[in-house]
Amino acid sequence: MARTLLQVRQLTTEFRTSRRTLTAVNGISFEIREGQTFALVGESGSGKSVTALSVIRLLPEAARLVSGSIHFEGRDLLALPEREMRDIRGSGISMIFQEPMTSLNPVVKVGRQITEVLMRHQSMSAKQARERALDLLDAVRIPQPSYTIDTYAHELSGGMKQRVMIAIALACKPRLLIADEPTTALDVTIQAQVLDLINDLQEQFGMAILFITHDLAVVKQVADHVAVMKEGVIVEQSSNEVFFSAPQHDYSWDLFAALPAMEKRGKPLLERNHGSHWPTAANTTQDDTLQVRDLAVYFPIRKGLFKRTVGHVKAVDGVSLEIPPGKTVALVGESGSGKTTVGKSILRLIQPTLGEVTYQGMRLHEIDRSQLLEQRANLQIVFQDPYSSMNPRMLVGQIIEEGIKALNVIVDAEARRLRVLELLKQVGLDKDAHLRYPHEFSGGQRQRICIARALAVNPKIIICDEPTSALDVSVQAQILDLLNHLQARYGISYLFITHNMSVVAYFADRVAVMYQGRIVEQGEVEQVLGNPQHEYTKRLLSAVPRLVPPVRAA
Amino acid sequence: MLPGKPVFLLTDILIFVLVLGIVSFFAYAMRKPHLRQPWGQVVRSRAGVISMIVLAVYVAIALLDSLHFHPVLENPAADSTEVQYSGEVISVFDQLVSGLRASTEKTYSAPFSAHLYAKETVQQADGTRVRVYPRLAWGAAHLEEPHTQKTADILGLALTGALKAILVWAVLLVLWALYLSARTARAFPVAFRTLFDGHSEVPWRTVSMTLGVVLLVLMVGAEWASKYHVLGTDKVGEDVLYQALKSIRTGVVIGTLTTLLMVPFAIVLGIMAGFFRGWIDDVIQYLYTTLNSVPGVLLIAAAVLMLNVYMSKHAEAFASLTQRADMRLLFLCLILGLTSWTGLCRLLRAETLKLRAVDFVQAATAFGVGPMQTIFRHILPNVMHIVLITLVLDFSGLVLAEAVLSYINIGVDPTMNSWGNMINSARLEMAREPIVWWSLAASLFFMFTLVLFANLFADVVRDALDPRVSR
Repeated sequence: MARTLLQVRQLTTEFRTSRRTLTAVNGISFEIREGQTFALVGESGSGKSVTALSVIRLLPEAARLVSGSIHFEGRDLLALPEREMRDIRGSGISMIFQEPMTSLNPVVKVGRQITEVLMRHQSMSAKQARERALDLLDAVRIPQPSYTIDTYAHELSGGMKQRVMIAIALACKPRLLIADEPTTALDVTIQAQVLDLINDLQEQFGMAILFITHDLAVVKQVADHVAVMKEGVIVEQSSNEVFFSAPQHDYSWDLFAALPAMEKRGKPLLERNHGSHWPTAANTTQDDTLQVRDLAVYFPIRKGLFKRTVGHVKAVDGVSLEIPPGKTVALVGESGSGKTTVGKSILRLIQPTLGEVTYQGMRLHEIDRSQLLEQRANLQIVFQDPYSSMNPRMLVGQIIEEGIKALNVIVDAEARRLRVLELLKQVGLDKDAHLRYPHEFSGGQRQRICIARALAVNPKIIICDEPTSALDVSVQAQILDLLNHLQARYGISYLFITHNMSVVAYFADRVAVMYQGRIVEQGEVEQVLGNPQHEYTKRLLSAVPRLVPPVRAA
Repeated sequence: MLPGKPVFLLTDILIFVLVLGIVSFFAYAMRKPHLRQPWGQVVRSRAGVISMIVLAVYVAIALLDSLHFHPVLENPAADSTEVQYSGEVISVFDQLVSGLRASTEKTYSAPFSAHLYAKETVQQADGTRVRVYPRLAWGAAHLEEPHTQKTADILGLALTGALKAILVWAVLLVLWALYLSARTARAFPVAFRTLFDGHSEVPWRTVSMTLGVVLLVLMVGAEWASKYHVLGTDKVGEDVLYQALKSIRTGVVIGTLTTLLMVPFAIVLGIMAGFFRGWIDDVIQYLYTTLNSVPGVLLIAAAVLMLNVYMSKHAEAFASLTQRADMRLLFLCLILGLTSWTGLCRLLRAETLKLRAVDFVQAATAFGVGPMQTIFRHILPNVMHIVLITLVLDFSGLVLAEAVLSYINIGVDPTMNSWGNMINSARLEMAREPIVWWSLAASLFFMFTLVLFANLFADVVRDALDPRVSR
């Protein structure tokens, strides 16, 4: 058996503010052996990242390591002076971060950023360091390393940047690589490539990896050993095989239960939410389908003194789809494929360049302001980021009321107040929430408020622009359950914009796959996911890490 | 009531409108938790409370100095039964320090001096003439033998002042502790202790200490000023302390009214440019780029010279010298405001551009909320912190700008007391032999204190209001 590389004993880290003390990590212990991949899984705020930062001794100022010990290759890291710790960082332990956009210095060529490390830690000459940097860029599979070495960070795509970050981290052949959500900010096809790469490099360099993530499917793919963290405590530790076949702790089961999957269609994810089955479906009498025909949105590129248009960015280039009443249509694709632009231009938040959107016999892009106002009540939107989608200076009650007032749905002030309370109840919030401010709520609760705001004007169609991608899986499950419940009750249609294929599999009726501004394939979910026709859809689906949740014996 | 017929100068009215505005803003903010929270942070910081107390003293003097009236004539014409008013305009503050105002000497005298700063030929009783430094008419006039008695007298006065300060301080603290104990339902001794133990949320110990120091300075200064020229006298024998105190109003008026005049421009144009984009944005941008490329001093000089010409041609339009000086002050605020709104406008335009694309504004658009409502409900409240931060930061810069402009003679009216005018006249005094340093020192000290504490306050306010500063 391989030797122990990193040993953490009873580690406790606290955050101190003038008001109170918050224990982020509470007495955790674990060991990582040489060459092993150790995954630390948990939801946001569970203390994963703080654990990693404690190990490498890069905690933010407000945080303090209260007790415990950390031994790396037999040396007590907490007893080392900062000088020696600096040598350990880089050559002993190195780290890659979640956000490749901000981890690279934008004004220094990427080559310099790699050679800097080499010259600092391995006393190489500039020439040697450059040779080695080229080797490293080649090792992280960057095409044309001799070209890339002299570029700046902004010239590279997200995946490329993350590769450069990995190259920097590997520069001094560390024994332990800490990877803090290295693929979360990347598209799923890029994620697959980066995970592959990390896996290969691990064998090649023989290093251990502390892999931090919230994504169980990724864990299944990369980890040898899994530790589940919740509220600063490791609740379960076991090998990959054991964890994914028979997890021990209830919390692990909860995580699996919250995962959306094809097999769970038609059933609520969380039983405690709205009873064990959906209420009887409301009969949708109107058969009005929203029709989108050849929609195109071009953004002009302007140059020169007089801002002459010299070309166009074709964000959306001829998209046709329809949203039948009471159904969910998923629009999937990678970042930059134009999904959000489609959603916003249907609502006329962005004026489309070409094409038409018809609803209830009206062409939404040609009608005048008063007719548009009527239609505004039928079409609503829920945004991705629950933090920026509400005015922080308004009370929740006022936020929900805004649409009712603007569209004159209810004129009487008292009736409006009652309607707000009713809406809050429908989305599962306390009725005193209407007198509080958005910042007093968590991300999931805010998303519920946004849904209540959209519901307030009795819409027929809600455009959901990645409403769950900023949320933890368990909160995502709650929101998906809520949306399902509302659809069954009011017969609302959703245009569900997402990049998460398992959500599509669980939630959508139809799916449209977007690639570079065009829809490359659309159809029933079972058909598209089960038997993809287009090359891109196949690539997308094969890149998604597979995870069949274990079944709990009754 | 005022002991005379009130006069409402334009700047007086504006400054009280501003005070009213600030008071009603805080009354409103106290009811809104999201607005109250950052100001709570200001009140909880030590630098915040210290600078607030010092600034409050300055503002109090400025406000007292902004209540103007024609005083009642002491010796009315014999044949009149009605009350007659003097043609001169003075303020409540002048009335309070009438001793200082009236106590003029012949010419320069040094701080705390009993003699003039220049030798004069005096004819003695026996008919011989001697060149001596004559005694002052007012400063240290109560002493028989200034050489031997002065030090003891000054110390004695300081002691009296200190005792008075301690007395007032103790009374204030007891009253405050009584209020605290009533409000928090704690026993009086407990409440009294929180003023000193340094563990309370609002730093009461800092508040009480600062208050003590401020009272000490005020009381000792008042005692001294009743018998001496604490900061000496100027060329025409006027008390320099009085001039420096009168200059406070000028500084505060310039610092606040200028921003008051500039803020509407900046807000309206900045938000319009950012929100409507298109040709409106272009026009506004060209406007402020053009304005920014003309040197500010040149513009100010031209405007002030034009006003001078106007005022000399229409001398009859101004009832008194004071009104004339006041007009010029207001005009200076206006022209300073016109040249300085561009910075804030640019900031607001950028912030509006950002907010316009934020989801909650998009959501409002999806509800069919009109542009005006969107601006008032969603944009304006979310850029107000920038406005407030700019206001406080600009204040000290404008006080200094006044000094610079008056120094080159395009500032306030020469008859108006201001630090800039004092520094301007000190130019010649510094070249004189022996040197007269106290005018310059006094104006610098008063200006420095105001600007220093305004800057400290601005830092605290920015930390509390700026969302980019992590909490």
